Amino acid sequence: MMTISRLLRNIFFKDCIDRDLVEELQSYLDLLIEHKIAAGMSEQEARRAARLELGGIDQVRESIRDVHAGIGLQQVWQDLRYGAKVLCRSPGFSITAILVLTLAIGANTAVFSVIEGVLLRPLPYSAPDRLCLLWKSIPQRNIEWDWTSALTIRDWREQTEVFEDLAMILRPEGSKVTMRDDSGTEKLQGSIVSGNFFDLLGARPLLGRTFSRDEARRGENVAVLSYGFWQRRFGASNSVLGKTIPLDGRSALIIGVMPPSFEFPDKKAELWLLLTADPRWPTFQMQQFRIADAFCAVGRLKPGKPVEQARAEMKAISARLAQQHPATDTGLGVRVIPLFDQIAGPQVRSALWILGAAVLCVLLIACSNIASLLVARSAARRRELAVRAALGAGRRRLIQQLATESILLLLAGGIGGVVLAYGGLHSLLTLAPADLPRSNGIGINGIVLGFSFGLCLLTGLIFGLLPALQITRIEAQSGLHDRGRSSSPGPGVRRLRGALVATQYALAIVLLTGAGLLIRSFLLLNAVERGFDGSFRGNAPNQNIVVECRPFAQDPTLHARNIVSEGYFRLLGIRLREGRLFSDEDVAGKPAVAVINEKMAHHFWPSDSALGKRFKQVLPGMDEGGWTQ
Amino acid sequence: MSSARAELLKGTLNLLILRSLILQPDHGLGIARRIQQITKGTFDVKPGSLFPALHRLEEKGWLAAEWGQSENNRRAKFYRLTRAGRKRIESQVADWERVSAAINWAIVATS
Repeated sequence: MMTISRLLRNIFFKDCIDRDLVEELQSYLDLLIEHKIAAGMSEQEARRAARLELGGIDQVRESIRDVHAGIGLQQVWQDLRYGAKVLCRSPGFSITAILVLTLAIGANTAVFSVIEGVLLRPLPYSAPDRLCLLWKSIPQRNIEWDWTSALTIRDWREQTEVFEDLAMILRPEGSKVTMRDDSGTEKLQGSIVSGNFFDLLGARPLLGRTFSRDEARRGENVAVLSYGFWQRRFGASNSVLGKTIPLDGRSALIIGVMPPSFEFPDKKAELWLLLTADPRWPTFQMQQFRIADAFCAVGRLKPGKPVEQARAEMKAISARLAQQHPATDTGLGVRVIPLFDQIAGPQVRSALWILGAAVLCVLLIACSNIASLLVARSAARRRELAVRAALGAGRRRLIQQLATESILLLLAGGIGGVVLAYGGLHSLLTLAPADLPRSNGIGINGIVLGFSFGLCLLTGLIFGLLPALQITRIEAQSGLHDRGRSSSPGPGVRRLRGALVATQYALAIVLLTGAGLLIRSFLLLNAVERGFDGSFRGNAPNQNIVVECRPFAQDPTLHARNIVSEGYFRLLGIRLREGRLFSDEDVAGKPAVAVINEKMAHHFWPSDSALGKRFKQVLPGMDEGGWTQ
Repeated sequence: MSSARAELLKGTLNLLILRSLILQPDHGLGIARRIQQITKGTFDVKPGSLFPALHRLEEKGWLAAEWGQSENNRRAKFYRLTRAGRKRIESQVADWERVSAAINWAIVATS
C-alpha cells in the first residue's frame, strides 16, 4: 500500500530521509550503550558491544533504504548518473560503442522501414486481399501474362460468379496524354480506366470525388489527379477542383485528387481518366479489336471466395469463350494473381527479406562486438565491482548498474540510429530499383520506431545482460580475494570472450553468405522480365492481307499481325530498318499506318522500298487502307 | 534461505512488532526488548533485521513514526500502530494460527 505522497516524499526528500535514518540509528546506538552501562558494563565495553550488535550503521542503512517505496526509481536515477560518469571517463570505448550501435540500429531501422512500407503494410484499398489482377495467358507459348481486349474482359465480367466486379485498365503505353497549356506541353502518364475502377478498389480520394456512374455512362471528360501530380503541377492547391486541364485537345474537368499512397496500376500514373470518354473507346469495342493486347482487369473477389476458385472459374470461362470465338480466343487462358503478389512479387519479397536478415546480422555482430568490449573492460572494473559488492550491493544491484550503462549506450546509439535512418532512407531509396513498388509511402513511422525500440531492447539484452550476468557471477566468486593488482581474467571471462569471438566469426560468415545472396537477388530483381517474352509474336490468327496493285496473296507466314500502341517498339527495344515509328500524329481520322517487318517488305516489294505503299486487311467491317512505312 | 521460509520469518517478525506496540508507542530498542520479553527470550531481534522491518511496516502504512523523548530523556524515534496496523494484527494472527496449526499437524503426523 504505497501511497503516492510517500513515494514522492521518498524521491524528493531522499536526503532528509537518509539523515533521519542515520539519526535514528545513532539514537538506537546511544540507547543501547546506556542500557548496557546500566547493566553494569564500563562505558568503553558498552560502546564496543553496542557497535558489534548493531553491525555497522552503513550496512543497516543500505538494507533499510531498499524497503523504501520508490527506491527503484532512486536507484535508476543514481545508476544513470553513475553510468554516465563511467562512460564519460572512457570516451574511446563509449564513442566506439555508440558509433557501432548507431550504424547497426540505423541500418536496421532504414531497412525495416522499407520492408514495412512495401511488404507489411496492407495495400491502401478496402479489403485488399480480395483484389486480383486478371491477365490473358497463352499457355502454349509460355506467355504467362499479357494484356487482353476490352471485349474479353467484358465477357469475363458477364460470366463470372466468383468476382463481385471487374474493372478495366488500359495498358500504360496507351494511356499517355499530352497536356498543352500556356506554360507549354507536357507528356503525362495517365491511366485510362473503366468507371467502376475506384469504387471497386474502395479507394477514397484525398480531395473531391472519383468517377460517378453517370459520368462513366455518358463518357464525360473528367480527371482524377495523383497526389504527386497535384503537388508538382498545381502546388497542392485546394482550388484545383472544378478546373479544367487541356488534354490531347480535349479539356478534362478535375474532380478529385488521390492520396499519396494510391499508386495504381503503378506509381508512374499521374492522373486517371474515364475509358468511356476516350476517343478510342468505340474502336476498342469493335469485334476485330478482340485480338488486341490493350487491357488488363482488376477484380474484387466475393467475400470468402479463394483465388483458386477464381482461377478454376476463369479457366472454364476462357474455355467457353474459345468455343464462342474460335478465331480469336483459341488457346487463351486467364491468369488470376492476387494484387499484392503482383505488386510485391517473390523477387521483391526475397530481396527485401534477405536485406533485412543481412542488417540483422550486422546488428548481431555489433552486439557481440560491444559485448566483448564490455567484458574486456570489466577486467579493469573488477576491483570496483568487488568493492561495491563488499559494501553491501547485491548481485541484482550490480547487474542493474551494469545494465544501466548498457542502456545509456543503447539510448545514444538508438537515437543516433533513428536519426541516421531518417537521413539515410532517402539515399537508400535512390539505391533501390526504380520500380520498387510503394516506395512513396516508406518512412519512419510509429511502427518503425516501435521496431527500433524493440530492437534496442533485444540488443541491450544480448550485449548488456549476458556480460553483466557473467561478470557479476565471477565477482561474487573471486570478490576481494584477488587483492593484487593482477587483473588477469578468470576462466569464466576467458570462456565468455572466446564464445563472443566465435559468435562474431559465425555471424560474419552468415553475413558474407547473405550479402552474396543479396547481390544475386538484387541483380535478379533488376532483371525482372520486362513484360514481354523473347519469342513474343502476338496472338493474331491468320488474316488475309491485300496489297495494293498486287494479286490477292495468301501466305501463312506473313499473317501474324499485332495492334500496338505507339510506345511498343521503344518498349521492346526493336530497331527500325527504314522509315519512322508510330508517333503522336497517328491518331484516329488520319490515314492508318503500319510498321511491317523485313520479311513482309521483301515478300511484297522485293525490288522496291516498301515505304508509302498501301495494303489492307480483309476483315469484316474494317476497310481502311494503310500505308506502310 | 528459500524465499518461502524467508517470507514466513518476515511475517513472524512483522506480527511480533505489531503485537509489541499494542499497548503503547515505542522506539527501536524498546521494541526489540519488548519482543524479547513477550517471547520469553526466544527472539533476540538484531537491528539489521529490526529496522528494515520497521521501515517496511511504516511504508505499508501499518506503523507511524515520530521523534520523541525516551524514558531517560534521549531523543528517539517512536513507532505507533496506525488504525490500519491495528486491523492488520487480526489477519496476521489468523495467518499465523493457520501456519502454526499446519506445522503442528505436520509434526504430529510425521512423528
